[in-house]
Amino acid sequence: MRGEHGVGAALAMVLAVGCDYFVPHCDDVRMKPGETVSCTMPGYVDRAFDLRTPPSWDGQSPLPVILAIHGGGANRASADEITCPGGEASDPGCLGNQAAARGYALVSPDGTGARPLRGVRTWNAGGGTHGFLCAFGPACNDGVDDVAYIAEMFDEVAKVITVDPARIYATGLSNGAAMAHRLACEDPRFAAIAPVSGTNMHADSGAACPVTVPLLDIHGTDDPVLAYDGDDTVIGKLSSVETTMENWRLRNGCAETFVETPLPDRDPKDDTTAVRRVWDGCAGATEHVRIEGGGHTWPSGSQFGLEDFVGRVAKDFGSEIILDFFDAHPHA
Amino acid sequence: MRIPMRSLALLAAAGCGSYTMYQTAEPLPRNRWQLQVASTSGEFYDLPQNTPTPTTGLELAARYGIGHETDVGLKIYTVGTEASVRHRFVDGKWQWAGLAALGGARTIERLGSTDAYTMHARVAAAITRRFRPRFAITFGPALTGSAFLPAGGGSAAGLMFGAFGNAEWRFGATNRWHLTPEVSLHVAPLGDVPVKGGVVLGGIAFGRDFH
Repeated sequence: MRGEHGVGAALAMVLAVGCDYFVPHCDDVRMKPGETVSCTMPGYVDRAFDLRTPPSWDGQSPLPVILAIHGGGANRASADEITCPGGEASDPGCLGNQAAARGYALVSPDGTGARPLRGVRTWNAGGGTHGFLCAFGPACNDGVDDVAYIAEMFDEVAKVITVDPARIYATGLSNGAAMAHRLACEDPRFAAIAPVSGTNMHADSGAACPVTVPLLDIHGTDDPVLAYDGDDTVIGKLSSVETTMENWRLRNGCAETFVETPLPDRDPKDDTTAVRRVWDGCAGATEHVRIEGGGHTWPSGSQFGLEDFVGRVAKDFGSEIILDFFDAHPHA
Repeated sequence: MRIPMRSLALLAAAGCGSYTMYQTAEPLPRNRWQLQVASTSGEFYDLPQNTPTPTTGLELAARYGIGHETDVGLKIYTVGTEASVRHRFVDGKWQWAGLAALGGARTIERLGSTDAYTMHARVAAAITRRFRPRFAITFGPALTGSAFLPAGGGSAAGLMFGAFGNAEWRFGATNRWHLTPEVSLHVAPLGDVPVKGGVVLGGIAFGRDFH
C-alpha cells in the first residue's frame, strides 16, 4: 500500500502542529546506544518500523541486525512482546532483551493494515497458487510486495546505524515466520533465519527459491493455527513442516540423515518436550526443533491467546536457541 | 493463519467514518430539539484484499432547529464525532433537503484499529414523501470523502458514492417519538478509505423531539 495524497498531507501538517503525533523520518533520527526509535517509511502508508540498539554499542561500529517480523493480525510492537515470558517487556528472556545483551540491533516493521481494520496487519508471505492458501489474508490477496518493502526498510535503517552486512538475520512467528522463509528465498542479505510456527508457503507452493540459507525452524506439534502436518482448508492448502524442511534440506545440500537430540525438559509442568533435529552434511545448516505438545506460540514467550485457540507455550527453552544459531551463522 | 475478521466485528466501526443518515428532508422548527439513538450493522468489503469485515455500531445524535428551513446536529458514533447541517430547499408533497456533515475519529493501536486520525466529509440529498402525519419515506444519494492520517506515516483518502433509504414512523400523543429503519449502500470509485470496495448497512433509529 503505497501513496501520498496532497490533501491528506496538508491535513497531516495541520494536525502535527503542537503535538508529537507523527513518527519521524529516519533522516531526522539520531540514534544512541540502548535506545529504541521509530521511523516512517517514505512512500508507504502506516508502515513504520522500530529500531533498537544494544547498550554496548559505541554509536559507530557496524551492528548485527535481527529482523523480528510480527504475526498476522498484530503489529511491530508485538513482534518482541510475544517473545517475552508472561508478556513482560522488561523480562530478560524477551528476544529483544537477549539480542541487546548480545550486541544485536533489533528491527521490527509493520505489515500492511487490512481495510477497514488498519490495525490488523499481515505480510504477503506467498502462496495463493496451486491450491495453496494465500499467506496470509489481505496483504497476500492484495499482492503487496513485502520483499521490496523490507529492502527499502533496510535502506532507512542504514541512515541511522551502520549494519554489519555479514550478520543480518530474520525471525518471526506465524505469518512473520512465513515471511522470514520468503525473505530467505528472495533477499540474499539474510545470513540465516529462524522461523517459529510458520512454514514456507512461498516456496512450498511452487515459487522459486534457489538459495542456500542456514535455517533453524521451530514448530509445535499441537499448533491449532498452522498445523504441524499442514492442512487443507476451504480457502486453500497449508504446507506442512515436513514439506518445508524437506525442501530446505534439498536446497541446503544436506544428506537425508540427521541427528536428533532431546532438549532438556527444564519445565516439566509445561506439558511439552522438544527434540532438535540437525541434518548431516549441509552446505547451509538445517535444523528443526519439534516441540511435542507445543502450540502456535514463541518458546518461553507470551501466552498471548487462550490455550484453546493458540495452544501451549513451551518453557523448556527460549529465544537463546535462536540467538545461539545466529551467533554461529554469519554470512560465509 | 485465519485472520479473525469476524471476531473483530464489534470493532470494525473504529476509524471507518459514519455513513448513516436516519433523517428526513424535514428540518426541525426553530428552537426545537431532537435526541436520537441508533444501532447499525452491516459489512465492509474490500475487493483487492478479498476481505469482508462485519461492522456494528451505536450512535447518539442531537439536532436543533436554528431557522425556518435549517437545523444542525451533533452525533457521537462508534468511534467518532460528526457535526451536520440540514437545509430544506423544496417543501410540499415531495420535500427536498441538502445534508452536509463533517466528522472524524482518533483511534489508537488496539484491537483492530491503528494509531490514526480518520476524517470524513459528506454531502447528501434527502427526498421525503410524507404519506401521513405519522409516516414518511426518505431516500437520496450521498457522497462521502474520507482521509486516513496514521501516525505511522503517509496518508490515504477515498471517495464513496452511495444511496440511502429510510422510513419514519411517528407516534405518541403529539407525534414526538419516532422510529426510523434505514438501509444504505456505498461503493468506492476512488481511493481506499475506508475500503476499496463497498459497504452495506442497515439499522434503526429511535428518537424524541423536545420543545
